Amino acid sequence: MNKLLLIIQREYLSRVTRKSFILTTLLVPLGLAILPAIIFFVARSTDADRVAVVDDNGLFANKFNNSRLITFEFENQPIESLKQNYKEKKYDGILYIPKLDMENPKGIRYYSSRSLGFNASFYLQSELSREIEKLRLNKAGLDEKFIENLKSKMSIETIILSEEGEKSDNKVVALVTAFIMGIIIYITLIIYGVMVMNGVVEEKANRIMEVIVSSVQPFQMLMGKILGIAAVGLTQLAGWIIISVVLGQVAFAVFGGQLSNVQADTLTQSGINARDAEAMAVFMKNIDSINFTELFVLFIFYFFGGYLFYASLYAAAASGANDPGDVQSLSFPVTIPIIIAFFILQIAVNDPNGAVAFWGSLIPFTSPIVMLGRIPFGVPIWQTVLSMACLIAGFLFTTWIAAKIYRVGILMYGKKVTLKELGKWVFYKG
Amino acid sequence: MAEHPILTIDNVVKRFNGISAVDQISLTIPPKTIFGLLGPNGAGKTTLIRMITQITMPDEGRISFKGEKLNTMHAEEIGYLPEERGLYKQMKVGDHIIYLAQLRGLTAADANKKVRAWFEKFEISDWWNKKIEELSKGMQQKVQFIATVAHEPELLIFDEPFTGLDPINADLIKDEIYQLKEKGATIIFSTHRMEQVEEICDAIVLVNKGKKILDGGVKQIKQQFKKNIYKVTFEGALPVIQHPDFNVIKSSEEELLIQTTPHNKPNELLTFLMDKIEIHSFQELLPSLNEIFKEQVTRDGHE
Repeated sequence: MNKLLLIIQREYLSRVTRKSFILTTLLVPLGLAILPAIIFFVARSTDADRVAVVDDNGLFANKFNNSRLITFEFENQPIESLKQNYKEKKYDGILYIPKLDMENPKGIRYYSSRSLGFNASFYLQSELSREIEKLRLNKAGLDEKFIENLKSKMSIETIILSEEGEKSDNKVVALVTAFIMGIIIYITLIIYGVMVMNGVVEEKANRIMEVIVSSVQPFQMLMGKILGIAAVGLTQLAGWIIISVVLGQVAFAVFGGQLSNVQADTLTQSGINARDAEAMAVFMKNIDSINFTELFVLFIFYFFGGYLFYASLYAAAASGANDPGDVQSLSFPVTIPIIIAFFILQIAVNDPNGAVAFWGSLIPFTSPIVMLGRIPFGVPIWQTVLSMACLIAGFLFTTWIAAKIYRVGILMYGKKVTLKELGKWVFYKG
Repeated sequence: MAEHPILTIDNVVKRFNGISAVDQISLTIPPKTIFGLLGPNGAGKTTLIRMITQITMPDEGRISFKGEKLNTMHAEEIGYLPEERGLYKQMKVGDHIIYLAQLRGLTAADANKKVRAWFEKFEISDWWNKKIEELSKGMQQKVQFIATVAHEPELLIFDEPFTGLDPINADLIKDEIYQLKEKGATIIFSTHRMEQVEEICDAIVLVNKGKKILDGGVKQIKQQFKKNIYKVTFEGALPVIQHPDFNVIKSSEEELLIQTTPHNKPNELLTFLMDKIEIHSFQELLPSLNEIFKEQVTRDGHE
């Protein structure tokens, strides 16, 4: 068998058969699924706050909608006496609406022994302001139906004009997708880069290099390790995706009904009227407007490109280390640009066509993370191609440099190596 | 010459930061010999071996393997047990040795067969499924030995192969090395421990500070460096010896150390002594390699 394949096989099998690998592959998606589920059940198990409404105007009776967070009940009892006995009447609080000057509504108060949660108080405010708005519009002689019509026409669909024709744009969906993509690349670059680094340190510490290097080229060693761990990474990503999909299906089958209720609730709370069919349609269209095939292909490309770029740098840094302590200081300069890329990602998702995002998505040190953050917003073809070309050139260059440093470093023992010396090794002969 | 020497090293130089670790060394290693590469620590032995195993390239000079310029195709014909030897701690013993044998060109099936045969020979088959980290250092060394020889290379290089082995296992490995030689392999044996070499090696080279100090057959070298000292055990009263060529180094009631000049034959000394004392034994004292080594290295240091 080809020696490179043999090395790849060993690097791959020795890692995927480890208990820690199997556990992280299984537990990460479970954890990600269980955490929201716990939040969901905890949130559901809290009872809605029962709020007594005392309205001195007599205008708001039964106007407020009950929700999962708050249920309203109208009381005719005067506010002062209710304050004394609202607890006996099993209320959590009192919403007091004094005689209001509609031009300048003031003095609305919420009395309770404890403050409302953020969502509940936001909900309370939105219910109140909606009703007050209605009353004011009515006073101005406008009809409620007319207002509803007016509202639904206000939802605006942004259309991006691009070479591929028109497509809908939604900042929120794109922003979330972009950010998630960038974060996944960021995390995987560090996880698998460090895996390569530890592999090299382990080999050096075990003094296995001489045994192996006499029968294979150091370059084969290096590439075998990098590619073997790339396969480990892909296996883990595939495992996470498959497990997440299966968990998603299971969750949908079991909690399907409840979930859709919650979704409706969430939409209501975030100010989107779930009954507003048009808004819903726009929302769905926006999800569709992201080209997932393109995104997936580019994700794989930038995952590989970024990984090859950084894995060889990590390997080079590790080859200079004598023990796991040394490797920290040598690998630090490799980790820094990854962290910088993560900061640029945050700028890029807010301003995907700005100068920072543009340069960040071209320079191979940051492009795997930053470009992924730009793609959901739409990137001109020439920029994508240029960025990909730069990344390919980048990882060919880092692999070349790393092979030179690695070849010297793996057989260098005992001396504490500085970065400057690592640099010198690039120019060593044979 | 019908057969090429297995290895020819011709004026090889290797420098690190301007200092020559190996300085113009030339050597010829004939096939089917056990060849000792001797020298104190830091003499350049390992650097020389690393060039033979193509871990590093010489700056100058040429290394030939069976008459051809050394190239990567030859890696599979060379087995190397380095001094700094390690294994992947997490791997299983059997899998690990098969992996190494495959890297040296055996097919999976072949590697499996040959490695298992060696495990049976050493009676360590029950180690097969253990992890490397469960083995002691000496045990690991036996396993390493198998890894070095399993692909049946023509040239074997052992760098300090006996460190860490108990006498029984050291003898076991020594016997195997003899057998490998009988089967036609050439063995380079690198060490700074002379007493091990004396009995094993056919020929040696002595290096110090990157330079070759001397080389040749063990017997010839001993002859070359002999000091014409004879040990005589005797009976009778020893008279005062006054002879221009014979010089008494040490004498006791029954033993005499006496040095002659290089042109004296042993029989001259014997005849001279015979009518003076009753001789029980007469033996020429050849220097041990250890003595030659020390003498050469110290002399080298003062020059």
